[in-house]
Amino acid sequence: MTSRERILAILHRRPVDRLPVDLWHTPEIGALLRQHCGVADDLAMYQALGLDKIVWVFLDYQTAAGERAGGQSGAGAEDGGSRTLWGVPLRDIQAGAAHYAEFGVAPLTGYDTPGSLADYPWWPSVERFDYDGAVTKARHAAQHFAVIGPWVSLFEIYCQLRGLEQSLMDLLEAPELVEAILDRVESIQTEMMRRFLARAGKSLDLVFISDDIAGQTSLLMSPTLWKRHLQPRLRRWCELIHALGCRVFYHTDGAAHPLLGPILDCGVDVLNPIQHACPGMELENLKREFGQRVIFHGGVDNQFALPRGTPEDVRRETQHCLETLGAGREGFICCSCHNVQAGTPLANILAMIKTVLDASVS
Amino acid sequence: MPPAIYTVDLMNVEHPLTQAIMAGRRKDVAPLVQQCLEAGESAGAIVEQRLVPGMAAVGEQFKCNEIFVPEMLIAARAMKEALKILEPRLVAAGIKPEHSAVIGTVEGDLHDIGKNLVAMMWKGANIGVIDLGVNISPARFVEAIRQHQARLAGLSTLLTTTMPAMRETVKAIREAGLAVKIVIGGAPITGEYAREIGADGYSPDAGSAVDTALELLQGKA
Repeated sequence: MTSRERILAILHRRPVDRLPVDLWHTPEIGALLRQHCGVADDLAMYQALGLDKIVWVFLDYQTAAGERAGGQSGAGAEDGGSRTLWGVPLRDIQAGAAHYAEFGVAPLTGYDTPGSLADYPWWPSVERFDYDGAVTKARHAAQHFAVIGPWVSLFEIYCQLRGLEQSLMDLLEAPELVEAILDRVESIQTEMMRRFLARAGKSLDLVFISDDIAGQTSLLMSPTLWKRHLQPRLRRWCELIHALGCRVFYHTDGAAHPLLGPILDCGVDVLNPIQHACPGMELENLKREFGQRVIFHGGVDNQFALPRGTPEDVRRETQHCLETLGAGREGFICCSCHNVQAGTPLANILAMIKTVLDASVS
Repeated sequence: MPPAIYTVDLMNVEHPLTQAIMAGRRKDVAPLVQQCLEAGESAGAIVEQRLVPGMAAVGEQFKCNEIFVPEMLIAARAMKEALKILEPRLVAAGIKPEHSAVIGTVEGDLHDIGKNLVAMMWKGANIGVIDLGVNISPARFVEAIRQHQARLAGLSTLLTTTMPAMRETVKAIREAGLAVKIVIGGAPITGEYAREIGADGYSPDAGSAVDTALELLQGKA
């Protein structure tokens, strides 16, 4: 099977020769792996490593000032300018061995009423996304790989715009403002998705909805608040994405278990990244509880095993994921649990990949 | 004037001021503090008997997943409203918190919500807290601990790539010979890592951070 065939088989719950293995990584790790493989571009590197990469195709954006803004609003965007497409300022920070773009001052600070939002100068225009560029990238990648894009988000973007603490307090103290901002955040991306998915056609397999709603030990907000502000929007997006012929890939870090049922009820097809170190996220239980209705993506611990463990730790960890999330050799795409960070030993990354590749003969 | 003697009862949360803080009703707090003062309660007694039990209850509810970060944030902000009125009176009366702490996010890391929550909860337990902010070098931690004669230091990190900076910070504090208890926390941090780098304690969340701090300060851990 090709990488693309293997991923699509998993998504359609058809038999596979082995479980697929994907990798998320920071730019530094991308450079390390390209050097290791002796190749110049990422797609060649994924092929050389035997990865079943689900290739990210996120849309570039041209600001009104003519500046290029990255297609992913998340911190760490490789190709961002000085602001995200939502107008959130970015600043470079050296964090140990890693280099990140972190968010600066929240630009919707002071826009405290729904009426004031019309004055915000940075609302993105759906005309300014580079649809054609992304379609070209998707067609190229789809020759060998499954393809995911665009990157869309609701509350993560809200938090970038208002600041994390203010956003969490807004949920309790300014529900009308929350709704008004989320209405704009949703509708802009809804229209962007309509345009892009129509053009990308069969080159695109999944849409990436990133909306972190949990921390290391608990939810970031009560289920009541999530259901009020986010659930209806997630459901609308899932319906739209399905109607346009793609599947929904949903990302939330953390101890999200209390909301996983309602999240899947919205129509999520693939759940990422399954941070099983967190309470309630034990792998056997998740497979038993949700394995019939969602494909798991991720799993391999990226807080201890990959960055700080030995290759043997990584092998054991990966094997555990394969035996639990991947039980029955179905419903699981093995991957690092989020981006492998700079400083992670090459041997550990290779151990994760090899463990999955070797499982094909067992 | 020496501080008044009074009993702290963490279970007593029925007072309207305590209830307002627990519910995060910031605007109700100032008038309720004034009522307490007019009823003859000292600033120190209001902190210990009205504020501390409220924030302790918030911490317990958070640990039990009865409330989440948003509720904790608005409770802490309500507490700050009370302290705005009470702190000048405490200073005038020469009353200082029994314990003082320095807290910050380690060098290279800009993430601060976890650190801020711990700072708020420590303040809510009547620990004096100097919040150094984010991206704090080992030297700045050492200098601040020395300057403020802190007995407690809180080190936070979110990123695995800045965990080595946490190790360096603990090492620098130890080498400076400071008599301070070090508590570490943050998403990738574990009790095992705390032992590995020679910290005194670890907390998985802001509610537990109060218990860890008080146990260390009272010599129970």
